[in-house]
Amino acid sequence: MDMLNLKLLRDILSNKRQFAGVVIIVAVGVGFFVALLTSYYNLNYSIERPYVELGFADIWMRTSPMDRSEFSRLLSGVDGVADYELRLVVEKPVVVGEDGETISGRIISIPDGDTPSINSILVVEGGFEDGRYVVYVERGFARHHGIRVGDTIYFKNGSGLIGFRVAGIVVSPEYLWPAKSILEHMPDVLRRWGVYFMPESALEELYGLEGLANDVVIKVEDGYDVDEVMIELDRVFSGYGVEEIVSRDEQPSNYIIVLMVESLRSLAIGIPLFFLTISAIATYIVLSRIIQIQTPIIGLLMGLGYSKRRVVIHYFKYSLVTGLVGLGLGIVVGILSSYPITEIFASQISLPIIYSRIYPDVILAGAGFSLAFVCGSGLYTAYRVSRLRPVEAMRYSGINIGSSPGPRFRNLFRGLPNLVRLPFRSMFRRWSRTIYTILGLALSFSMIVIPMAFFDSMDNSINQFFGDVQKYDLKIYFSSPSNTTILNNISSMPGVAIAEPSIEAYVRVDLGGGKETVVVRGVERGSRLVGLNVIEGGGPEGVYLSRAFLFKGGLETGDRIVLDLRPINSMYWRLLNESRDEAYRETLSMLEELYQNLTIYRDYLYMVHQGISEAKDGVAGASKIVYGVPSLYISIWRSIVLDIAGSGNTTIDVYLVNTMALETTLGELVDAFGLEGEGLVYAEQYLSIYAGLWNQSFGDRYIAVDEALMGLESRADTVLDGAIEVLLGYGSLPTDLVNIILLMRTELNLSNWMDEALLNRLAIDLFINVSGYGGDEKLLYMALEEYPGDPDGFIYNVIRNSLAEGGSGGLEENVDRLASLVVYGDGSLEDIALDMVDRYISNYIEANPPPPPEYEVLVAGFVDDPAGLVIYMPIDRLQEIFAMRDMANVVLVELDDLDYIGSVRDAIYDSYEVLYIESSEDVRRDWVDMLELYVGFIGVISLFGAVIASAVTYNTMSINVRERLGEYATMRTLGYSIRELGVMLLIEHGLLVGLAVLLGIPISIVGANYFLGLYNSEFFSFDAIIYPSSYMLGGAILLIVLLITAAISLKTIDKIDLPRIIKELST
Amino acid sequence: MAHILLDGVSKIYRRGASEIRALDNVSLEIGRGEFLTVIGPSGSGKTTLLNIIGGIDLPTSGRVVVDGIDLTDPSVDLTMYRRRHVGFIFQFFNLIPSLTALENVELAAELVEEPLDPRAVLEDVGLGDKLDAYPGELSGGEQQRVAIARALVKNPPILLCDEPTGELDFETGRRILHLIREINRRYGKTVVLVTHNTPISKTADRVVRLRSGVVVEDYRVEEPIDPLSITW
Repeated sequence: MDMLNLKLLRDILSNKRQFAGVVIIVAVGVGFFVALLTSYYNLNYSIERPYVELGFADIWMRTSPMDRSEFSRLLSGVDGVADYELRLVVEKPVVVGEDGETISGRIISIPDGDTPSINSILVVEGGFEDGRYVVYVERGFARHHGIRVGDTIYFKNGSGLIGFRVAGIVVSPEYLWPAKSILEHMPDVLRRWGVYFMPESALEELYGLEGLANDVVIKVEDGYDVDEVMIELDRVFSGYGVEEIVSRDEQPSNYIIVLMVESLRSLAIGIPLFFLTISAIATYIVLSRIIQIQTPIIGLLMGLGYSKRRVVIHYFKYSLVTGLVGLGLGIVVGILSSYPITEIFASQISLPIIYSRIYPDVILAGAGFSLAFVCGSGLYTAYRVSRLRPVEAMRYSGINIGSSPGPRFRNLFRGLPNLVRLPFRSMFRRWSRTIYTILGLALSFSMIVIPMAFFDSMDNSINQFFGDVQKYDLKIYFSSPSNTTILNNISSMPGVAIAEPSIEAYVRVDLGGGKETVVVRGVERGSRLVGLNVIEGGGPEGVYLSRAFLFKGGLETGDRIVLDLRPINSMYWRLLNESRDEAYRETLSMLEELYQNLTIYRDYLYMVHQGISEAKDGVAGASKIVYGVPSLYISIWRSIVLDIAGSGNTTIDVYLVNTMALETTLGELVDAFGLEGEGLVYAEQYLSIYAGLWNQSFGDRYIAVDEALMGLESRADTVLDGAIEVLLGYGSLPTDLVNIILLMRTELNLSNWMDEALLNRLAIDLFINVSGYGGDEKLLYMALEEYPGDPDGFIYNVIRNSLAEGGSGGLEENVDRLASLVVYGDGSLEDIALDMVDRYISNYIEANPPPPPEYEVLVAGFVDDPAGLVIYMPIDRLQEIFAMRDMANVVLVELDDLDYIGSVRDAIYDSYEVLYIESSEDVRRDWVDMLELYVGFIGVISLFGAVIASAVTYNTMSINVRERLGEYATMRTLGYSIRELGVMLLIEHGLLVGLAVLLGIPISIVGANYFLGLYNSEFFSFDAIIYPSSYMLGGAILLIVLLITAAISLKTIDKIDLPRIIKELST
Repeated sequence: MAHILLDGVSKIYRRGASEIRALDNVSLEIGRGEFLTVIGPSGSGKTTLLNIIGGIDLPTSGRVVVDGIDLTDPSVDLTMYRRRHVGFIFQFFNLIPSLTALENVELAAELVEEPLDPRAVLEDVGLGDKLDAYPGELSGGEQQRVAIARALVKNPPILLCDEPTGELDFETGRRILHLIREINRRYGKTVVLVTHNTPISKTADRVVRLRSGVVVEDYRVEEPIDPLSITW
């Protein structure tokens, strides 16, 4: 063997610890790089595979239900459609679990006995069956609710609950991430929403949608532009109630996944590269010093006649061997750890299979970068040393390296004992070495602290958000806007400390790159439950934007933005729209006019009644006279698109009117009075007057609904009548009742009289014996809970209980039945489909709200809300924009104690029509779940960071000791004990660590800001926060490594062969 | 009573199967205040002998008693022994480069309860004007003077000098020898000086010649000459 190669081998063997140290630094740097990047690519691949294998669509289009053949015919006329799958997609209440919890479900049809060709499903548990009455449950939802194969799930339809057996748990490329919509993507959405796949014929039968489809997923032909195909679809289907056309980019699950993967990408590449660079720098620092120690040997070799080239190559080989061993180890570690890391990455995504592959380009990149640094370090240092003359090199003490710190430090630390002074002075001996040492340690420190900054920032944001911003415990989303009476009631519930109204809605805002859907949140001025911590700006007027707007950029304080109030949730929007629509206000005027006419009619009826009653006096067996006041139920549904049995969609403006009272009044009169002859004629005559007035008011452009609203009527008709009467000034009730009703005036401001919850409460809470109506015993539920006539709540409870036992269905149920109960006014029918008069039953009505207005608002500043794109404004301003005076669709609640969560939640669910109640605790947990993806990732970073940091620290420190072994030997001969040298060593290394921490803090801050910037997305955007504990942890790890290194070094010093060292020093 | 007593001292280094006998049954008595030079060719065991006396190495067999302390007794704290009884002067000075001349001396002074005044000692060795100089700013002779001062400041009864002139030019070497001799005389220190330079032995009170670890010659110098007058 060549002697230099033999020397190389012996050098390595004689300094195994040092060699191992450098190898570890290289290995961890490369291993981390390979592991993270491989995991990132694995994740991408694992997402891409199901997209390919399950035929992920290019375009989604939702329309009104259409005849399938017509749907297909229209699609065939769209260029660029390579393949498509027609589907029925309905959102219906579904009863799941042992508790029979009702949860909103998205039910998607699949071909009978087959899986779809596009957006197919993969059965991961159970199996695919031919049976019709089976359902397949999306895996994420099934897991969340513990649904298993063989369970029964009940779907609500007009007939009640229909059970379907769960045949399989499935994965769908559309729901790899559980996103109901782009804005409803948090894991907690699964608590109240799930996805089911059901055979087409079963779904049609279940909801009476035979032969219809309302959704299509499309594969675009190669060479066609997806956007152009979407534009064409929009054009072709313009008259068919297109709800949305989205591409993959906006498909909620994919949208979220792409965003998450993108933010992960920044980290998965950025941080490993950072670590790799640090490991490379550390390698240079350590390796150069290892070679520098060999300076006399280099001198000797050259003195012996070895050429400079050979000497340099020799040390290059040393670096190469170190680098190659490190690389080999790193690549193995990287590949082996990539699979568990991929699993961590994929933990929040419902992937069917997690793939693990090897990416040669990743390995090559990591290996090339690291090897270049390692070999470069060796070459550079050896070259530098070889430039010395042999005699100089030989004189260079490999043991007692270093020189004086310079005259300026003569008086520095003078007063200190030498054991203390010496460490201070040592640091100024050779600037470059000290700086490199401190730099190496500082970078190590930052490698520990930066990952911790992620934890800290998340923790801080979550704490801040739930402590300072969301101070409430419960957030109640109502089915429809409600007035402040509900708020008062909730406030008085046991356990409720504070309740505040809020409005939450979606608007669209142009942020420069097209319009984006954002949340607009109206909060009370000076709210006690929502804290707005202004981080930028702070004007008194205008709106405040969440942090994510800052992240997206393009907006500044003082800018003006236009809120496009286009609905995202059509039902929600319709309700909002109705309450603020100008036409609706006109209808109220019409209602007033109508009511005047009705009161004339009522008065006449009363006269008739009185007359008949008197006539019946003394007649044995005559039935008791009971009658109801004609009641009204009116709402405007502008721009209603009617599709009658596939005749095509026609948009007309119609009124929805309840005519029940007219007919039932007549029926009641006939039944109650046994009307006949003159009495009947009178009644009919005046009823026709009423009918005439009706037509006079509405013309023939109305849609009449009767039975559908029976349930509502049974509880509320007379309430409304009485209330409207009093409100309009036609009342003649006793004073106490008028007072009560006047109280209602503020609550029942007519604009919210569709509010099921309000009506429900009124019906329960109000109980009045209306003697003013002629001494009859007609009950009007018009007593507030505090009704003075019922101080003990006796009557209130009687009514409440009776309703609870035999009460009729709620608005929701009736609305579901609406489609099958609608009849049309003649005029409407003439307008729509005169020749299809006999086919108007069971047709679908789609309401399209009018084009939304836009509102311009001033950006007053930015607030510290890390979650998503949210616009905050005072609730009164939002109420004004939405024309929802004194109304809110959200109530925020702070509880006296969190123990009340269950009881308050139950009470609210029992009493009001709520969409759902969100507990801050649950949301907080969901956030943490959501961030778990990163927590695992950051955990991995921390681990690698700590290993590299330890290796760098150990190497740097141990070389420090090794370089000065001669000094320690001298001091030992002078009589210094190991303990004293230990103190000195600790002081010196402690100083280095201290300075490294001082330098590491700004590096960590800069690094944390940079990497957190990469991580931030519009979902979560944090400021980099580093807790003192993280700095302390970083310092503590360095200190522990330092102590271990010091202990090992002291052991080395203790074992110094003093005679040998002295001899070496003397020769 | 001898100040330093070596009784049948042997030192054997084992290198695998082979054995190197650095000292072989050496017995010596060195009197208090004596100036002893140990001479001999390379590998004769001079430095080993010095190291054993200095308590930085232990004999394989035999006894070493200094000031009544048996260095071969395992209970003896050799660090304390070195601290109180011995001052080392090396060929390569072994100064701490980051400390000034004064601080290097103070470094040793701090080890004992009653040291000499470091400034005074440095002045004694002729470096009163170089107190604040770093070793790198001093000549070889000056550095060795600092090393001597460092050895002296602890006021140890024994000075052990290992080739103290080895790194110095002739003139400087003579001056350093003169200084050591002066210290020996003025302060009554026992000095053991190891050198391979035979002429130096003429300046000592007594000469011990070693060859292959064995004392081959041990004689008194009747009239030691002034180091400043020797040549080599």
